[in-house]
Amino acid sequence: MNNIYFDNAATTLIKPKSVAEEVYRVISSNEYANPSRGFHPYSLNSLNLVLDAREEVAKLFSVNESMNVVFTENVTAALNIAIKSFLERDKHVITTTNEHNSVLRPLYDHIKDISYVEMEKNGNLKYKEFKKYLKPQTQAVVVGHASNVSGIITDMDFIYKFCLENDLFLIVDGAQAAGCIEVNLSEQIPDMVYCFTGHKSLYGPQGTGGMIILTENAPRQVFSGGSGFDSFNKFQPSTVPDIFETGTRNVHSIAGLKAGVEYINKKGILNIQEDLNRKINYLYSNLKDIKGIKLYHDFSGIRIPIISFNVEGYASEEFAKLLADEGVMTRAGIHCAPLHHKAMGTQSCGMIRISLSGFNSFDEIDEAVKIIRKHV
Amino acid sequence: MLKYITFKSSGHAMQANRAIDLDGVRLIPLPTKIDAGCGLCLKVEKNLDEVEKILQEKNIEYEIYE
Repeated sequence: MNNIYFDNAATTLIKPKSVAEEVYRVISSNEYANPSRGFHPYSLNSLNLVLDAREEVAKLFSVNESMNVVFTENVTAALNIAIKSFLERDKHVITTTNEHNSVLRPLYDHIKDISYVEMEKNGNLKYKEFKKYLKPQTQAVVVGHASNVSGIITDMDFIYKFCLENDLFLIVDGAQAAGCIEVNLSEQIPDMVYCFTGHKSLYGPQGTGGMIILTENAPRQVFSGGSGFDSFNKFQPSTVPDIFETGTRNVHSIAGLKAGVEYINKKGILNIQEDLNRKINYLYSNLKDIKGIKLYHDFSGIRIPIISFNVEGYASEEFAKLLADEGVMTRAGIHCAPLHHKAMGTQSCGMIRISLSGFNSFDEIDEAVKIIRKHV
Repeated sequence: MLKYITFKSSGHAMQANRAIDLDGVRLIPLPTKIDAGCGLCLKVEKNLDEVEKILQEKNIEYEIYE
């Protein structure tokens, strides 16, 4: 029986060995207590560890100020916090039909006036529409860096320029991009927040993620609670990261995330990007000519390692089940991106999604293609 | 000379502590009498000018208390 895990866009299953070792080391040492809740050495150990993790993340994203790295439990939490902290309910926001519900639902919840930039038939955004939707009350663009359905990367140079030219705030969902492609936040960027998750391509444990705050705009508190200092203040301390890090952080898992990001920094994000693109292009070249397979998206240029497709005569979940029965783990359905599927006309059948990680091999791709061919 | 340097958060205090390796400067719990900043501060008994220079170079915000 095969054991081929191709659902890495949901979460990476195989992590660098150092991730589990670091989590184990931190817990089993009995030397890591609550950061920011005491001056004893065990508290300071945790404070130092979290600071190391911030520095490692800052290095990956080419950010100078590591204290602007905030840890949350995942990207969904980060997006909720960023949207509710920095955006005004009554002002207009531009987003796209390409977004995951972790962007859409917090926007539905918090913003009254939203415009949606549509996609071309091949999944690329209609970039000209951004200007079309601009209003005097437009405050921000909220956009994913890479699609979790198509694997297509958003043209961030265009987005940065559009926001800078029109004085708009930017919130980016980096769930799929971080750890797969280079994200350089030292370039000329607007006031923005870049949200990331830890458990996908950064190889951290589940329950880790965060956001990088790249603005001097004053944040509003979203959650409040213990901060370990300034206890007579009725509000959360207004400083980043403390205003967003209410209560005790998940230090044990942040240790694992640190190890995951160290692995990426050591390997080099550009090397990882190249490796993943070679593998996903190899898979694409094997699938594209199989009769009965329907591919939907543009495959030119650098991308993240995702292919979504359907097979004639099958619902997406039926075919994914066939693959799972032969030990090839993929994901079927809507992938929490309802507007993407409406645009593609696949809202009733969904798509089968293969998503790779650096731990997948060409042999696994060959084996999976063989099994797909058998059933098509 | 005895001064206390306070910071906006414990993380910033630790960041400052890592950047400074000078005689007469150490990280301590914030004295309760100083109602400012986070739970940690630097106790500075000498080299105050050098400490301030490093903090300014590193762009770490601080306040000085007697």
